[in-house]
Amino acid sequence: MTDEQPLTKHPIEWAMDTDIDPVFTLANWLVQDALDTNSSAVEVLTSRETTVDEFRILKRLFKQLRTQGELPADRRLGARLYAASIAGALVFHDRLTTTQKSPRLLEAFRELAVDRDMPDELVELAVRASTMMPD
Amino acid sequence: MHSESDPETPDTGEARRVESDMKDWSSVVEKDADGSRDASSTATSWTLIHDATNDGSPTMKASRETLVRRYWSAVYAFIRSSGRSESQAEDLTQGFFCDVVLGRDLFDRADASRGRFRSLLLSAVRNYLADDYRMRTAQRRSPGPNGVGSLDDDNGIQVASNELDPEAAFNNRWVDALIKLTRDQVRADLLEADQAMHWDILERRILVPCLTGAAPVPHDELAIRWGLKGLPQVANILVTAKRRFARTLLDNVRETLTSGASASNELNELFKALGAGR
Repeated sequence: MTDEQPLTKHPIEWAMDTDIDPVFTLANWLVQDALDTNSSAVEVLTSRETTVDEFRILKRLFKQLRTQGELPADRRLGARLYAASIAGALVFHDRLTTTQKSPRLLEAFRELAVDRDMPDELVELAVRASTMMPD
Repeated sequence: MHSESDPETPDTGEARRVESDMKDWSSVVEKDADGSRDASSTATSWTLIHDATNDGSPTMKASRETLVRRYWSAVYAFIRSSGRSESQAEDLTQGFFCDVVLGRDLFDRADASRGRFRSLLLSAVRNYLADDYRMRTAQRRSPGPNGVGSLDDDNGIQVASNELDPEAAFNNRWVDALIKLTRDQVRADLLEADQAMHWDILERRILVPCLTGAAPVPHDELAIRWGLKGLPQVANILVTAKRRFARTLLDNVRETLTSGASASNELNELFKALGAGR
């Protein structure tokens, strides 16, 4: 054995995230990887600084999670955040980024708003988006 | 060999067996560096410790070898950072594993206490060095055939050649060992589950950049490589594999702790200690 350099110079601190916030860890990692940001999923989804294009990317990310998530909880989270991505573009940029019919979309927003696992910021976003939907 | 003058070294057939087992640990460690694995190389620490102390186990020797291989680097780093030369550190590390870890059945005591294994090993190597220092000092102070020894002798201790303090050096290598173990386990698990794509994306986009500082391979490149539908699919596969890595790492940390202790807290403590020791 010699004085070889250690394998890591910077610890893999993200590994602790799964213990700290098991529900949102996957969503945070998705957002951070896709948008190259340090912000959390909730922060990005509820920020008016997030562009329409970024909301579109988020929508595609969470749509994928909704259909192909590893666990049922992942797929449920994907469905909620898919709705939140559409709500964010609508609330902050007045843009509807989906071709889904209004009743279907309103139902998705309602499910987001009543999900007790969702943080208040996303619930509020869903409620605001609901009021902006055309009749 | 340090064991020659250690009063606690067993002088029975057991000692000869241990000596035989310890014939050339350096080559064992180097074998690991080449990436080769044996059946026990991905087992968890307490599982290995249990097996290594079970005389009736057919895999006892392999478990002992794996334990030595896994923790050699941390012990060596501690000793080297304590100011010993490279060759002295190698001898002392070998002596430590021969005399203390295997010879005095440290693992039996570890199993009995179920304490934090990192603390146990750290404390044991610290005591071993103190014993070594006292022994060398006593030898030099004893009037030999050539007269009285000098109190100014350095007793083999040199100015530390490493930037890290000994405990930080130990912790640094300890974390490295945990990460290497986790990497091997996750790779084996994913390949066995026919998820080579998950492993490849995790390795190219997360592990290699984290461990070497290289740039992550772009999503588009990985999508083409594996025939995926762009960023969303690549990112979702990535986070699934990343979560598996994180959970495996935490499980491995948990395996070195007292039952019920928080793996996150232990990791956090280690990371903070690493930052403070640099």
